[in-house]
Amino acid sequence: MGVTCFQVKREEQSSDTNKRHPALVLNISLVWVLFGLVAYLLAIAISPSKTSDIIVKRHTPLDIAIIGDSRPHVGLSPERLTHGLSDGGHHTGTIYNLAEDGSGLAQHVSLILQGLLNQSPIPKLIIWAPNPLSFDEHRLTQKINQLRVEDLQILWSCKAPLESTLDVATGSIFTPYRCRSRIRDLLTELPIITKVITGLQKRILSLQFNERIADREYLPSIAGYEPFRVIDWKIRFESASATYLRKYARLQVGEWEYNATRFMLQKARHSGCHVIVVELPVAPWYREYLSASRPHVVWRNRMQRLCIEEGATFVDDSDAIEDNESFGDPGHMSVNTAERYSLQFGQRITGIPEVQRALQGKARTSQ
Amino acid sequence: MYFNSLTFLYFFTAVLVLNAALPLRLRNTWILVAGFIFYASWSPTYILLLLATAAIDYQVAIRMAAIPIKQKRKPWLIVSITWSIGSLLFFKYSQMAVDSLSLGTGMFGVAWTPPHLDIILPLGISFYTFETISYGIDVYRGDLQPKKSFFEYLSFLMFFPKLIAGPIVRASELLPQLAENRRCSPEQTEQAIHLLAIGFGKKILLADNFAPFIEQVFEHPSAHNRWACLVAIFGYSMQVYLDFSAYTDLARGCARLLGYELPINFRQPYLAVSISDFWKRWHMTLSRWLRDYVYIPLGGSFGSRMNTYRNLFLTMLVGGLWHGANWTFVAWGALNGAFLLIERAWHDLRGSTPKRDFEMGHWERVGRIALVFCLITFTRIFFRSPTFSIASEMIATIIHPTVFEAEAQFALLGIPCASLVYIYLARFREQWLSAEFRGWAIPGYVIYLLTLLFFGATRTEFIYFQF
Repeated sequence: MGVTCFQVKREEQSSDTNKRHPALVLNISLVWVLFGLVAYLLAIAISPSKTSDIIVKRHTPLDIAIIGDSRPHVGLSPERLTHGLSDGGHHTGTIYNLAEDGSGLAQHVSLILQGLLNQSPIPKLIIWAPNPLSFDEHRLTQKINQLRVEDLQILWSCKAPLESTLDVATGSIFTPYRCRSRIRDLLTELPIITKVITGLQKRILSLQFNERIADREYLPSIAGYEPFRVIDWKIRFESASATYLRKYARLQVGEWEYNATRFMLQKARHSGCHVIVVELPVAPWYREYLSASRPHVVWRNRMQRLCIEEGATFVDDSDAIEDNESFGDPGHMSVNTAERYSLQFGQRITGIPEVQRALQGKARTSQ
Repeated sequence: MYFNSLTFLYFFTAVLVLNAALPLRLRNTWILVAGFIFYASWSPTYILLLLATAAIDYQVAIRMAAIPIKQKRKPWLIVSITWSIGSLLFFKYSQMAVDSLSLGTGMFGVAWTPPHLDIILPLGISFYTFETISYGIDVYRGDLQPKKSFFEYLSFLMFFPKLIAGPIVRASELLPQLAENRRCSPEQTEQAIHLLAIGFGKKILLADNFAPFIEQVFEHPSAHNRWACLVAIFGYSMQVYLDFSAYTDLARGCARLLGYELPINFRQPYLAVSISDFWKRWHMTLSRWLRDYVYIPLGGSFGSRMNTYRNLFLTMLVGGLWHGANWTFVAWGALNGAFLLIERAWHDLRGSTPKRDFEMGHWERVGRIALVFCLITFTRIFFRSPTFSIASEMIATIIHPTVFEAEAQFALLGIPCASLVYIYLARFREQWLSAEFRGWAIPGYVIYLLTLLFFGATRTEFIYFQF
């Protein structure tokens, strides 16, 4: 009797299990489909494009392109550079600053290879202003979602970490994944959300907030160059110094970054585009505490060697400016310094034979 | 390969698909192969250490089982423990020993700079070493029959969901399951999905979003005010719980999808009503291990009161040192040991036994929970601080009165609120785990997945990986 009951129960359970399996699979699939649909809709609705994407997509022909992260973005003025080059006897066409805040090596290589060198005509000169932090693996993880399916091959051939390659691959298959950080920023910056959060804090905790005083003010962007004026130099300089120390403490540059740099420099040379790799001026404080550190020295030596081997020009201007006050923070020039430096830089590079040849050469089309 | 990485996501999908496609008899082999791939993705070389540990313990266990008299098994047990503890000491504590020696000689006026030994800590060594030790001791005691097949023993040790950060599983819990060749039922699948959802939420929505503020404050406490330091300490208390329990949830969820059960590691620890209650709810598999293989062999609570206090304190010191090669961890263990000892002494003096949950009034319970949470959070200062100077800087900043300035709006409101909401929601965990995957669960999961995608923090390591 007991055995029979047990058998019946087991059969019931088994038939119940058989019924539940397809239903469960169906429900899980439904969740994924709905999730994918909503995520896609959000991505389509609010995903903006980067300035650099727009420029490249418009096929705006450029004579000189400036590439890098926030340092050249706020530190190299196309207008003053044009003046500097004219002073040296070179009258150039369009110069555009395509540098983007927080971007890293992968984005720079992608923009140069997939964007600029695919344009027609290709730029005569690329001024690339990297620094060890733009080679940092940590930065890569934050920003790699901006890359596209075309970049996968570069990552793979340069032996990028598997996780980074998968990151790009996932973003290529599933667009919302690639745009997730932008969507999050847009959602969290919605005025209603900010208002609700601040209101709650005031009501629940009776907090009185001091209005946050901005320590810098951005000036209108001209040809992609967006300088800033410092409002409270001391606060800005000190808080940024602490951040830089933190970033350098965990700085990690892998071999694949150098492989990607070499790959990009080779492609540029074969396309007839000259690349100037410039280490932009940094504050004396930065030079004392960070540029002298082992990872920075190793990075600079590797970059110098790569430039020699691949026919690019390396310009070390890190010590071009002698006082901390000329900088908005240890790594970024303030507006007056940026303008002055851009002019000098333009004048100086006209003296480099490779640059002269590149600027005098005819525009080339991409192959 | 972190659980919260894409590499793991694709890897585990492949493991699941192949596991389902393979005949039952081949599944264990496949899971063992997956364990090798999983560990090799971090360091192929250190697999050799793991294999050597497994081979030695396997052989020793076989030889011990062949000896009928317990006392005569002892030399073999010593061999096994020496190897396991020796490798743990070498890889984990060599640098600490050298640094401490330099500090000690410095006190006597002999100054020398300790060399940097540059020894890489093998991932998960603290966890798998404890598993192999417990296997050896269980066989020595005659509580467990050793496995005849090295393959089966290795499958237990290298079972990848628990390989690098626990739970610390006993051979008697997992080996019988591995012998059964289990498959995952729809109920188990549902529960596993819920566990994975809870785990991912805890890790990438909460713990990793708390982390940047806490990191910033602990880096330089005196640069912040009292409130920021307090939020950072309480926030860290929550972060370490969310982070570690997330790992356990994910490990249990993955194991369950493969058809296996791993023991629970946390039972709402921040609702504990006493320090001893906390240690019964926090990292339960470690507490159990320390009880069975350190506290009881030391004499446990048999013998005089002073012996019991000593055993408690020593056990907690071992627990502290297990967490990391730093004297701050020893201080953390000592503080916990001291609290346990005081609690025990209090009951001994009054001749009472610790009250249980249902024996207390509502407010007494709330008061005790708050007190225990505050005491545990205080000990976390030493757990989190890399040096004693940072820990004392943190304490000094809290004690020293400063003018209130709201400097991190999210942290000040977000961390306490998210923590309270989480503690409240924890009550519904069991209901969530037993819920069927249909009806309202479908839109609920869609919203949850969207939240994870858009508001999940950037991938970071689990805190317990460093141990």
